[in-house]
Amino acid sequence: MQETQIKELDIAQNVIIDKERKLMSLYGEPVIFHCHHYNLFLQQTILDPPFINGIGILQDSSQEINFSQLRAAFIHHNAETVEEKFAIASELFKYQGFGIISFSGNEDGGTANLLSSHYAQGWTSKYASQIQRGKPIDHFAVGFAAAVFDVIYADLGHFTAIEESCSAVTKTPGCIIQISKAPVARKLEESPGMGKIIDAPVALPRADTNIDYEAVNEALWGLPLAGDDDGLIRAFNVLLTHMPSNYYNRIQYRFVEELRQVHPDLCNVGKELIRESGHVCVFYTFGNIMESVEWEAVVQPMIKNDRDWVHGGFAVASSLGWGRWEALEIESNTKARVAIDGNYETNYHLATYDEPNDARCFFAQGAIPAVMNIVYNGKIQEKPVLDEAFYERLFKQGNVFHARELKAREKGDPYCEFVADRS
Amino acid sequence: MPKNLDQILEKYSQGINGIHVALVGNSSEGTVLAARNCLDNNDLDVDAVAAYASDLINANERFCHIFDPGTAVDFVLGGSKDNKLLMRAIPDTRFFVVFVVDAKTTMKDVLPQLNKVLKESKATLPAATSNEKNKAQALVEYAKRYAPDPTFVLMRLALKTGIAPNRLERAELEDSELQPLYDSIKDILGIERLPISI
Repeated sequence: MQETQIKELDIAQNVIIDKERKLMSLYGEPVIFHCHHYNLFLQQTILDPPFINGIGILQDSSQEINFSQLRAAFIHHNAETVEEKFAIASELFKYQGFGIISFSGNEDGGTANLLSSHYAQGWTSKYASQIQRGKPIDHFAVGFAAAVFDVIYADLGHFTAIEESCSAVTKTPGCIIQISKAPVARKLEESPGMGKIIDAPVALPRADTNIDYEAVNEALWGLPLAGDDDGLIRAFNVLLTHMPSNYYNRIQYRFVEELRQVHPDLCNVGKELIRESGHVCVFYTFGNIMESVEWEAVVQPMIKNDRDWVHGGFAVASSLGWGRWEALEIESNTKARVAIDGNYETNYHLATYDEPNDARCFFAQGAIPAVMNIVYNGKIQEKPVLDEAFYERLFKQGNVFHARELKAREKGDPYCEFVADRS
Repeated sequence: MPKNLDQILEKYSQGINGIHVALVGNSSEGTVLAARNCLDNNDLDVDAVAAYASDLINANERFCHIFDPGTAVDFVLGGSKDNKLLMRAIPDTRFFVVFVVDAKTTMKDVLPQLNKVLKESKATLPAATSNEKNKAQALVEYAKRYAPDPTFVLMRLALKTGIAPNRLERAELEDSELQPLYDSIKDILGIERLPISI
């Protein structure tokens, strides 16, 4: 592989869209879009309890999942030299919206310079006017950097990394991550890849709607959503990432498991906050999509009633790599019954855990009522300003939608089914 | 002659254009005793006005004590480009008067009104009672006012302290639980200390 080829590396060409299952993959890893609201809230939740090792959950999971993806990327591009592999890793990081990162070092360790960071930039834009930050934030990048050295020089778990300087703390550009060889290799676990995907889509009853889900999917799949010169995906008034979904799965399920072991009485609080990360994500991202020119061009012409707004939301959901989301039935301002056939949470859960006693699609449990809330409580049709004050007012007004997962593929049902209502 | 706080506020918020809100609050609890919302805006959160005004009054009191211990807390002015916030603590009490006015409204028109509220309301204020909020309640309410995502701050504090959210909501905590709560709020806000002593 020549240097000129590295510069011209087009990561986007390697994104595979499984249109039937509505999944995406990149170098063998399922990838999905999420925004900085989701990334920050989920990470914050995992870091909050001092009685579990939240940083370890985040960094180790990142190292594990990125190890699998990076190794596949290096093989795919026939990368031979260290320089080529560093360059591919940097391009992949940038393409997926995590920022700009460069590597230097050898088999004993090295340095990653994070010139621009999704997490630091996202935190600064969301929180810096309200609160101060004294601790580093780039745990995903730390795991990514360790994984780069693992793949190039050793095997999974042989390197560790630490963020020495973080721009969200110093308020100056650039973060520095130091990578070093672990005294003893840690036992880490590779990604399960695509997980247990569905054999074929289930035949779902077609809802009465004017929205053409497939047309919305095609329009969104055609958008050039990739990291810009700062390695950030600025779209729909949020910062997006094209994240390997197994990172989210691994951190949320490990977090809940550790919480269950150490503080079982707080397990429901942890789950509720994970649901909220899904709620706040959909609220801001979908809200901004529904106010965008793309929505006006593609979805708005199909909309004939308020229920179509909700269907439009779920059509967007099934365009982001999350699996096949479809509203089966919507009662205006009252209730939505939604099916998800093969979502990214169940694909991972079924490949990783035994059948659980409770439903485990925590993200979806928060995301589904958010679509109802933004249409019926937030009145998105009137194009409100989607800021924190608006979001808080929504909760203060009360009577918000919540969802229950009534059928769960992870528990043996053929697909997941949720009901969102005001109960 | 007005008989109660509502009547006092009504009397002295009339006749001058640009008065948005007039209220009397309790600075130790951050609550409203009486308020008059002169704007036709049901979304205006008068409780929030009183809560943040309380913090300003309390912060000003501490500020005054740095330079001139023992002085009475006096006039505080705050606000934005479009709105001005005028406050005075009612001497020797935990109460204060707030006027929120349009920025174009002249001070010389508003201040005499505020001073009349200050003077006449003193006789109608409730006597000091021992049921002022406990420290846990003060900490929780401070967190709700200043933490991001306030709807979820109790859950976050539960995860940080190991204290169940319903106990935090009721603020019925053991003395030994105050320090972890205090530290957790500091951590969420990223600051070294809170303006509430435990």
